[in-house]
Amino acid sequence: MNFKNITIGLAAVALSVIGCTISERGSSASADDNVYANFPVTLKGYTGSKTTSESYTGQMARQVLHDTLKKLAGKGNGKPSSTLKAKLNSYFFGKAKGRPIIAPKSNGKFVIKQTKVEQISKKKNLSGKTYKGTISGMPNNMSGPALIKFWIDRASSAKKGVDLNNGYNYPQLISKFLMGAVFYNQAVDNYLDEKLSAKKKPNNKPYKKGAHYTGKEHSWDEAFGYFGMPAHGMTLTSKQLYAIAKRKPEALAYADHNGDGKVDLYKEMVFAPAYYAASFDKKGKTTYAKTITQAFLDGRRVITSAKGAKLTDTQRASLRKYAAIIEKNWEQTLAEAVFKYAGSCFKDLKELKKDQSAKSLAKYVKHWGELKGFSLSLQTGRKNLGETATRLNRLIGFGPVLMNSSQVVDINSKGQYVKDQSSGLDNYMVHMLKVQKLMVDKFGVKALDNDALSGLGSMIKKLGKGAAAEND
Amino acid sequence: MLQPFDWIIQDYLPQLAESFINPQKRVSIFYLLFAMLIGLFWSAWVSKETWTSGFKRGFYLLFSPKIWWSRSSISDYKLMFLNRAIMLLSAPIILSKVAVTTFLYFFFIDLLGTSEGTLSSWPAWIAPFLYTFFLFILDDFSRFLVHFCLHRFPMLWAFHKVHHSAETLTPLTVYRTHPVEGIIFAMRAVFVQAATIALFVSLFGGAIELIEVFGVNILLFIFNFTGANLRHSHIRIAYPRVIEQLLISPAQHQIHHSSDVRHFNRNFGAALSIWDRIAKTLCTSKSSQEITFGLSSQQKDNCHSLVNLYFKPFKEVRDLLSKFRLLRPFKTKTSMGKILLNYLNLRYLILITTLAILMALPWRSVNANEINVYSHRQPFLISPFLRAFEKKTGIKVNVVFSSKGLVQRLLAEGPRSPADVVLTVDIGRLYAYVDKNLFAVISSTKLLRNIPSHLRDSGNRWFGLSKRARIVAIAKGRVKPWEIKRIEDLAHPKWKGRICSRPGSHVYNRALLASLIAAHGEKAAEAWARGLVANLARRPQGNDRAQVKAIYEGVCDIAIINSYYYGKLKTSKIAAQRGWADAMQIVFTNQSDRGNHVNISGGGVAKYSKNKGSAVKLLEFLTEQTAQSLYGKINYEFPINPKTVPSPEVKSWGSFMEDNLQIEKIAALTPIAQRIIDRVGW
Repeated sequence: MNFKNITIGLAAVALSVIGCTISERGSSASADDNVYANFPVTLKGYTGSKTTSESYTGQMARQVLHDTLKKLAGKGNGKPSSTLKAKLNSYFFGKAKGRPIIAPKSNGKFVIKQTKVEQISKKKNLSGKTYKGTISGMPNNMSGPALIKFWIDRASSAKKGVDLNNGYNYPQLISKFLMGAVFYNQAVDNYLDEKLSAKKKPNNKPYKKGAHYTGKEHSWDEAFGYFGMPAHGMTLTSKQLYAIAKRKPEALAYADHNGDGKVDLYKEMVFAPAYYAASFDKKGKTTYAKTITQAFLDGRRVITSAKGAKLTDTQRASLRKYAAIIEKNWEQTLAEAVFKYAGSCFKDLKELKKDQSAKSLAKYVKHWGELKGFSLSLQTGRKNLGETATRLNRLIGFGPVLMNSSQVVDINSKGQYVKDQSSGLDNYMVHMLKVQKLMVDKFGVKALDNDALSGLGSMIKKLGKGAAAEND
Repeated sequence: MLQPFDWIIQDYLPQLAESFINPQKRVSIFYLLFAMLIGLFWSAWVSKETWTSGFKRGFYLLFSPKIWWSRSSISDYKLMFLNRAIMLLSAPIILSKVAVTTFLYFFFIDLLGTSEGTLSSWPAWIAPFLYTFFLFILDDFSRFLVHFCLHRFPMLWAFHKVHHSAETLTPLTVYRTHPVEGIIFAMRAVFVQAATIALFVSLFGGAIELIEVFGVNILLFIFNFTGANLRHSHIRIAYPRVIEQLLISPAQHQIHHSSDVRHFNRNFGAALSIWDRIAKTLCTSKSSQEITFGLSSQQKDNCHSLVNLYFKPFKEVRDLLSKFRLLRPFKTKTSMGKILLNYLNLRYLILITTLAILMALPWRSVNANEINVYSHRQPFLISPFLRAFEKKTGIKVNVVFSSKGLVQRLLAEGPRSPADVVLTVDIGRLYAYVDKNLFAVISSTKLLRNIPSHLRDSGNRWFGLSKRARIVAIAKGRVKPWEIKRIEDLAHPKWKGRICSRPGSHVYNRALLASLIAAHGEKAAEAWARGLVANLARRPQGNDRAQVKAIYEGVCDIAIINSYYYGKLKTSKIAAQRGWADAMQIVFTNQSDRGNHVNISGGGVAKYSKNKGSAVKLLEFLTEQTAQSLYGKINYEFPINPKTVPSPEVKSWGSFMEDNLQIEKIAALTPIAQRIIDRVGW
């Protein structure tokens, strides 16, 4: 290569670098562009008074139903309570008016605007949107709603929703499972999958008769709602998102985007799926919450840019690309949670071998509930996880291995748990490690909270790299 | 993806520089400087003339441009620069150390059955000491072994020859290596380090600190610090003969590089020479010897050309392979051979395979003379029965074995299930199939005649096939047989700290407790269970065999086990297990009241069986004379058919009265029994 060629080459590289910088600056978004709001009405022929088209109230109402159900599931006094059961069912199956919001509630300066579910959206329940497939990670081929119904029944007679004899923490099981069976499943297997096809919910027609938004606009918005991110989520750090979800009084300042002094559960609150994504991002190793939210914003802009016309194949391909980003990152957050809680259970078991107090046992049972719930959630996505799901379910089992080495292996026709001798605590601890490895191998998790194998990594690092061609 | 220029700046150059800075690398500047000092002082020390002339001689041997700028050394440098890039790019094909370590870690903890570390109770200082030492030894041995193979096998020697073609030696000759050999050595490092880390973390139950100096294994540091670089130099440092039997001296490695045929295949070791001693390849140094480095004259044709260094080994491998005719097409002159080759033609193969599949498929799906058994019982236990059944009836039996999960599997399969018969142990497990409506109601007078009514389902869905008594094992000499007459006696405080048991949740113990509930009621049964738990010598653990072993080891004097374990241990092929059985004696309990509790193995016909007739035939066969005798012979169980005489071994334990409780009751009481077990922490 002569000098002339090298010069031309270097100049080309320099120009391309400058070009990239300029184009990035050109596409950098202003603050408002980072908010999932103020998308214009594009529906052709719309004559109503609405000026913005985004709408996902039903989804945010379901986020509230989920939070409330979780809270209520921990209210049992240890004796069967038909009142509590009816209450729980009213939030899962019911659609009645007047249901108060039990959670999230105001916390000091962190004032929440709504106090009743219908103030967000009317006639909403969770059961209608719960994954209807078979839950192979629990006995008896129950469907999603049947499993929640079973757990609600158990929770209503368990003290604070916890059954230490069998190892179940129902509020955790219900909550973590619903995060997949409703929110993740509805988003990735319905709105971001079937409803992105050319025939379903086209963009040149209203979503339903009388609506001011198009089919594709609303499909996309509904998926966004299920993620549980505030409209201005992109403008917040993961720590701020975390603080909002925890309702910390100081969080009002950045949660209250419209400055009315209250947190609007429809647009300003952080709910479970977004909260978990942000909580993993806090370490700085991942950007799940931002990546998902950015993909939602980018996808919505593609739809808006069609100006009420039917989406072209290119536009739909572009949407599919954003949907794939959302799906992959969402799946990874669930896998991260499985990884995290498998690590927690491992630690708890280590502790329990030294101290078998009820407090330590309750902690283990709580973490196991989270592990089981998230592991079942992971299996409610668009894809059938096949062998990975089978392995995950076998490793975790139908119940945790308890101190007397017993483990629930079945549920009989009377709804009673059937136990058997497990392979033991030590072996179950190995299972927890294997669950963590499975999450790394199959989902490429990176945040790695509670990594029980971190010791191996540090030892490997210490011995240095071996990639040199050396000889003796 | 990185552009070439970025790659050079960001990856290549820093890694190259690291070789001379990182103390983990042999050519680190610190080691080089120290080696230089050692070389100079050694030359002065061994000089037969003055110290100064010794220094001068040493200086010449260390820094002579004739050595550093020889054709051989220049090709070393070229290889070093190019290999670094090749190795960087080939990193993805080298197995990941993390992956291998994790894989081996799980392999070890599966083997040990715990991640807690069986040696975790050892004093804290032992683990780092052992780890550091073990890592060094295994690393050194693996270097020897790989090096030995590189010389031993012609195909590997073709590559290793690149290193031996050096005619002048400098510390950088360590990098005169063919990349294929580089990859082999990198893999070696991965396996050694992964195996050591995995083994130690699994044994000690956590991360272990390496004893190190400047971040390097202390033993490796000593090796490098004491002039390891002089192995590839012209300074001939010899150790006393005794030391050279233990450690490889620079002079010994120089012998390894000698072009003299007498020195070929000697001194493969890196730091230790013990491996060479064992392999009889050790050669100690002699003060008078003069060594010429390089290959033998017939092998060193243009050996410093870069093209030859990189590509000639491949050509040699190809030549070697062609000698074995592996790369030549098949040829045959015989007519039979030609026919065979015709059949090996791809078209024929596809045709034959397709026909075979087409023929096999319908045969498999419609063959009614075949049944499928879902078995919780281990294949070696039931195979003799099934083979005997096949022989007698001509009905083929396929077995799906799984110790867990068959109920859920059958449930999930629903009407599509291929299962015809389910075989399992324990009434509780049989009852699970009835509870989920997975068994067919069958009508067979043979079954009703062969099985006592209290050992089968009143609804004719499951049937007991053999019996096992839950007996008390006592330590010979430490407990008198008459001291325990009833199972209830085990709750007496006098046995405090003397009883062993597997966990209460196991179906065998739970069924025993259910029989106590049936006899005395829930309250009394709970008091018994509480008393038993208070008398335990250790946390409930292991299986029934483990309890007998505990008696043998003196951990406890009394255990609750299933009767057939006694027979199995007594006749075990393992002498130690026979010893355990010798240490115990069996006691049948409750002989003066309700009798000893018995449980069953049993089976039923799957609800959606497509071959119910054959399935019933199998169950019937299992309750008849031939099979019933086998239960005693193979597994030391008691026959369920009253007409069958127990096997001689089982008979030798003596006859006993059994609890004739309707075994269905046990299943009904199981949930209550489990709640008691949870409450008392058994």
